[in-house]
Amino acid sequence: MVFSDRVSNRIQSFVGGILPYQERLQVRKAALYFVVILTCVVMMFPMYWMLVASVQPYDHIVQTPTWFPTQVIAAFQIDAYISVFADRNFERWYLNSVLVAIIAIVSSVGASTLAGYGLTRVQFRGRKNFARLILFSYMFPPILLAFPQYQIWRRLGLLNSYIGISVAHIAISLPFSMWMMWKFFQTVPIAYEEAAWMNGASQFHSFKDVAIPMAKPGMVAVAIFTFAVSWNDFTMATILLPDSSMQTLPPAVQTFVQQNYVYWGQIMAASTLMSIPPFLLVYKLQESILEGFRTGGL
Amino acid sequence: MAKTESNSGSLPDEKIQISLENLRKEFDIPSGIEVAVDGVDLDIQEGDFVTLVGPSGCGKTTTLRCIAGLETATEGTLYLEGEEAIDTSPQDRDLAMVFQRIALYPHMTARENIEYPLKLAGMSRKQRTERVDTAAEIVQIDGLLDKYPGELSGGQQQRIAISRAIVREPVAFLMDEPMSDLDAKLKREMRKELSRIHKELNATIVYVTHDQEEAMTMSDKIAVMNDGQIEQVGHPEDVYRIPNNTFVAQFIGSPEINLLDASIVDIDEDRAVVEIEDGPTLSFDIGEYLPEKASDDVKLGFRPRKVEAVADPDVAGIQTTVDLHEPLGDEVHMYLEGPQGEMRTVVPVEDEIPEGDHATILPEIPTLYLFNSSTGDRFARGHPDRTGTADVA
Repeated sequence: MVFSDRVSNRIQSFVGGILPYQERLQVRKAALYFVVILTCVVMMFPMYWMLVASVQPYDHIVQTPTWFPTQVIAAFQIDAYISVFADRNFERWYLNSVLVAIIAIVSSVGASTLAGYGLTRVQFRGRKNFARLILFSYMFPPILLAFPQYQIWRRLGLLNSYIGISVAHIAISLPFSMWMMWKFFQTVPIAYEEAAWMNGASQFHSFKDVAIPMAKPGMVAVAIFTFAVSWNDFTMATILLPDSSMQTLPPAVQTFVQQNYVYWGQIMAASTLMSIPPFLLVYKLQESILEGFRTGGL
Repeated sequence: MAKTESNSGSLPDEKIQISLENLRKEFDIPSGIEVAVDGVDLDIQEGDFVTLVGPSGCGKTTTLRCIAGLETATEGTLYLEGEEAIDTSPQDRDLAMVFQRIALYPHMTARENIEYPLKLAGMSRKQRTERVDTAAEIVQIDGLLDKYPGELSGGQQQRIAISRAIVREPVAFLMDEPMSDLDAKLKREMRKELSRIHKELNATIVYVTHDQEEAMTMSDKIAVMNDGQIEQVGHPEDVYRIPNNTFVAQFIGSPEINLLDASIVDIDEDRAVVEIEDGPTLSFDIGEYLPEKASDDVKLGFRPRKVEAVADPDVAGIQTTVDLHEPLGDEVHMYLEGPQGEMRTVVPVEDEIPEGDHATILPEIPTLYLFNSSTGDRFARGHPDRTGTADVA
């Protein structure tokens, strides 16, 4: 919104010299709407295209792409949705992805909250360097880690397992999550916990009753971040999950592209179904981020 | 004088609730060690409202946090109700604390906040509700119990923080500048409120502030701190009337005391003759003389409210020019350009002298002090029973 505000301010000042103040405000409002709508159209069009392609016959998609609503409705069909479930193991992949994401989120949020709290509240030697080093380990590209991980995972018998792939996702998301929680706990004044101690709360109680509720917005951010890492991961899943029945959605959908045939309709149908959980998660958790800010009564 | 001004001012029939012995706290800083509290001794009796007052960085908050157990003292010890408590954790000291930043838990309602200490103590729901209602009544916040801290004003939040402290009936209340974030009017209101609560509960309160006015108005006893040490302990009035040294004299009282460089011409048990540098020689009866602390070069101190200011330049006295007026309704604060720079007086509005005019200043005898100019210690003061101003020789 900041950018669109600036654009509409620019437009307003452009016409500013000629018009009286009230009309200038109206011009500004109209300009704001224009910019916002334009942005939305640009952002939403690919999603619209995805939805359209998922309900069109194959010929329409590859030969005469249609996007105008009336034409879309005329050729409407849900064959692609049926075939991803009927011809393929889609529900299994979906379940795999959801389970892996849940394990990754729970572990990552839990571990990073504890780590962030420890790094801010417990004094030990080399604390700052340790915290910085954590972020350093986030700098490696996943593909660099994937091959050694494959070797290790195979030895440990973790290939084709939920735990194995979750651990890989946690390994990618945890450094940044820990760093984020470290930073977040620095913004939570220790006075709240001191107040709890003076009220008779043990260190554990003050953590549970005071620090955790106050760290909720940070935890939500970590959850969203971890979900994004896990849900979108292609590299790790491709390498650590060779078995088709254990695959998560991104590499599974990749198999819709075959040597001489691309199942565009099914890819789009799968993509549409894949985008539901992120949408729900962000929609749900966004509320608690805002709630966290509302109750942050400082 | 029934009240005492010395550090060991415990009356035998009163119970000592908190006692500090040679408390010392050092902090490690990059450039070495910083001594925040440097050997503090203090006895606090049951039911006393004791205020630690001093400029920022004087160690008053650190002292309080050592009592609370939030800081570990480097040296020295602490007794709570007669038992050594220096190694007791803050949870087990049975003290309640009100913080500068109010520190109400934002995710709990006012009631949940107040109830939290009772919940931790494992009290039943019914008892908790009763206790919370009583505590809320004392600080007059009955109607606000279901609100979240974010929905309340600063004053209301502070009341809730106080009721969270009193709900548990602790050994003592520790308050760390609880009013510094409130506006002036609310501060005065809360000051009265706190004094009322103190009387109602007969609670022992240790209060920390940098505001000498707050310290003077509420306390039974104030401890003026500077540089990690207690400079003087006593009843607020005594500390004001008989400051131990120049620091206390300057810190307590508003406007600040006038201090002039001077030298002793003649002094004995009864009378002092003092020559002010670049000024007149004053002589006055003294009510106290401590020769062991005396020096020839002195600081002559007198309170701005206890002076006679006349416009006539022919009158003998300290010759000054009026620099600036600060009218405050009934009285006027006058800033004067004297023989050694700025001086301050407070006069009734009808006695004001216009800005730029001449003013002759004559201090009244009972509030004249002589301080050793190298140690800062007071060694003599004007006779408390004499009226009138000092004589000009």
